[in-house]
Amino acid sequence: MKAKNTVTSHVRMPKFLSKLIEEKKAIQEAISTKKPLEKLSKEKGIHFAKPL
Amino acid sequence: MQSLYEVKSSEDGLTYYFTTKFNLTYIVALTTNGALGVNAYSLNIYPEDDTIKPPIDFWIKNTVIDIIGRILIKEENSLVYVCDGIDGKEDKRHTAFARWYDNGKRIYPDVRKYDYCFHSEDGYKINASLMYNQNNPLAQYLIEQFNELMGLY
Repeated sequence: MKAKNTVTSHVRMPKFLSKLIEEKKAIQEAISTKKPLEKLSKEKGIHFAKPL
Repeated sequence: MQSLYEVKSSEDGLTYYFTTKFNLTYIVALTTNGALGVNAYSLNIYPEDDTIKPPIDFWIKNTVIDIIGRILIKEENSLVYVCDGIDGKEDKRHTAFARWYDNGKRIYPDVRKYDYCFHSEDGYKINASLMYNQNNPLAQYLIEQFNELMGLY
């Protein structure tokens, strides 16, 4: 199956991506400051997963 | 795949990590939010110490390809990867990720990538990718859901 990729410009940030980016920043900051991720998970409602 | 690092589970059990031959540790955090289903993960990889400029190390690329491949070898799994433009390096990261994807296709031929790139109205460039197994019977549905989440419908 082939999916066509999409490029658009100057659109409102989708909520889904906003949330993901906010989550990424929070995780990055927690790693950088050595804040326990368990605490971050509880505070921000981030669900860590272990699919491997 | 040869020449890759051993990925271990973190002590808190929430993430994975690997340590390079240059003694740099990378944290691999996978998260879920349910928007694309319970088997959709968001991939985050960060150096434990972001103050050190890492030397070129192809084993990192191999390790990340292996992580993604092992997740997506299960047909029901999918991954979302977002490169934001906060630091102006989104294109560089996205290009590297696309190259890694091309390299990985030789080892994991069933993995497919669907890209969505845009400039948000607040000035950021965002590159988002959905990765999935082409044998996933819900692949088309996942793409449609992804597009809907991007506000394309």
